[in-house]
Amino acid sequence: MPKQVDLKTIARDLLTKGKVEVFIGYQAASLPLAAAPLIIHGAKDSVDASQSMAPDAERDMMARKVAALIFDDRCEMNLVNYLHKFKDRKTAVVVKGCDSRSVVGLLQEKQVDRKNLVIIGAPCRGVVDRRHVAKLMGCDASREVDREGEHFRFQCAGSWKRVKVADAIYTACRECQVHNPVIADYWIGAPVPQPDLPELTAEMEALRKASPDHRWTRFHKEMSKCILCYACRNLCPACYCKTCFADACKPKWVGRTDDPSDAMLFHLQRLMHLGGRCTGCGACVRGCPMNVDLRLYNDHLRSHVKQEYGFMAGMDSAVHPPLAMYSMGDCNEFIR
Amino acid sequence: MNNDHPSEFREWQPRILAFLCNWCSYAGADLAGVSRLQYPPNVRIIRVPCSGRVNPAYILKALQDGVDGVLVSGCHPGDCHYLTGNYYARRKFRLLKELLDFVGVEDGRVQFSWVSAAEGAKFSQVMTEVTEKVRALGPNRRLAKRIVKM
Repeated sequence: MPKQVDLKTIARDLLTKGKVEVFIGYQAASLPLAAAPLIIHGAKDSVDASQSMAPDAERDMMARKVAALIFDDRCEMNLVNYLHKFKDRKTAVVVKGCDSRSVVGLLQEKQVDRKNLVIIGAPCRGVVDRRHVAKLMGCDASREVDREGEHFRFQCAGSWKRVKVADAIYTACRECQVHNPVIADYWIGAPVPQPDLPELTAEMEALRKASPDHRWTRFHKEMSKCILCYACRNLCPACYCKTCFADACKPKWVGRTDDPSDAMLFHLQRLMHLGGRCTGCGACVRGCPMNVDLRLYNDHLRSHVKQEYGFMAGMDSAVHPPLAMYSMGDCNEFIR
Repeated sequence: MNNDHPSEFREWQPRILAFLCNWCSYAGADLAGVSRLQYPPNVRIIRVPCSGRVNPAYILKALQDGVDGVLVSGCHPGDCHYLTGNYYARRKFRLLKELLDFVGVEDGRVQFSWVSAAEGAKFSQVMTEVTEKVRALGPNRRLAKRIVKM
C-alpha cells in the first residue's frame, strides 16, 4: 500500500528536488463544476521555454502553479493522454482509478517507461457530469453552483434547485469497478469502498436480448449524430498511433461525407483497435460534442474479452494482451 | 448473368468478396477449378498471403463499397504456412463477428472458413453455401454507402 501524502506537498517536493521535470495535475477552471489540466515544469526541465526566465521568477511561477493544484469530483479528464507528449522526461501524473488502468495499458504496450513515471494515485468516487447536472436542473450549467454537503444547489428561474452529487456523476463512474488506483507511488487520499456491481448493466442486458433490427436502429441513431470530429480518438489514451487510419488518404479508410456509413466505418474500425484495450475511462464520451454513446459498444467488447479470455484491460502490466496472442483451444464454432 | 437487359430487369444476384489465403484456400480454389467442380459465379476472389493478413478494415470497407457478403478463408488450425497466422486471425475475427452482431449487421454477411489445398470439393461446397446464405439475406443495405447519382 503506497504512502498517503498531500497533493501540493508532494508536487512541491518532486519538482523542487528535481525528482520530476513535469508534473501533470488539475486546476479549477473558469466555469462552475469544471476543472482543467495543469502542467507544471520543474526547474530542471531543460526543454521548457520558461528556462529563459530568471531563476527567481521561475520558482515563483512554479510555486503559484503548485498552489493552484486541486483534486475533487470535478477532475474528469484522463491526464494519461499527456504522457505521450512527455515521453522521455521524468513525469509525475495524477490518476484516478480509471486513469491508472490507462497507465497500466501504456506500460503493457511499452509506450511509457515506468522508471520515468511518478504516479500520484487519487481514490475517486466518480466525477461530476456537468451536462447531466444541467439536464437534471433544467437550466444552463454555466451559472454559479453552490455545494451543500452531498448536494449541489443553484438558483434557477427564481427558485433554488438541489441535485444529489451521487446522481450527477457520469454513467461510466456509476458502473466503475476500479475506484482506487491499481498502480501508484503515492496516494493523495484514503481508499474508497468499491460497490458491488452486476456484471452487465440492465441497458446492456436488454440490448443484447433485443433483435438485430432493434440493435441496428440504435447503432444507426448513434452514428447519425457523429460529425467525424475525431475528438474521441484525440482524447483516448489508448489511441496513440502517429498515423491514424482515419487520417490516411492513401487508402482513404474513412470517407468525409455526412453519410452515416462513414461514421460507422470510423467507429467500427476504432472499436476493433480498442477491443481488449479499452479500460472504460469514458474520455471519449465526455469529449463527444454530439453525445454519441460510444460507451455501449466499448463495454460490449470489453465484456466479450473478459468472458472469452478472462482479461481486464489495464489491471496488470505483466500480462500479455489477449488480441496479441492465441490459444489452440480458441472458439472455432463460427468458422466453417 | 444475362447482360442483354438493363439492370432493372435482371434478377438480383449477390456479389461476394472472398479473401483467400495463398497457401491453402487459394490452392483449394485452384483444385476445384482443375477438378471441374461447379460453384456459383457470384464470388470474386482476392488472394492474400495469409488469413492473418486480412485487416478487419478490408472487410468493413468492402461492405461499405457495396458487396453483399464477405468470406475470409485460410488454412486449418495447425496448417498455417507462417505457423500461427490463422490463430491470431481467429481471435481477431471472433471480435469482429461479436461487434458486427452487436451493432445489428445480419448474421452471415461476414463468414469465415478453413479450406485446405486438398479440399477442392469443400471449397465448391463452401462457396455454394455462402452464396445461398447471402442470397437469402438479400442486398446489403446496412453498411453500404448510398451512392448519390448526379
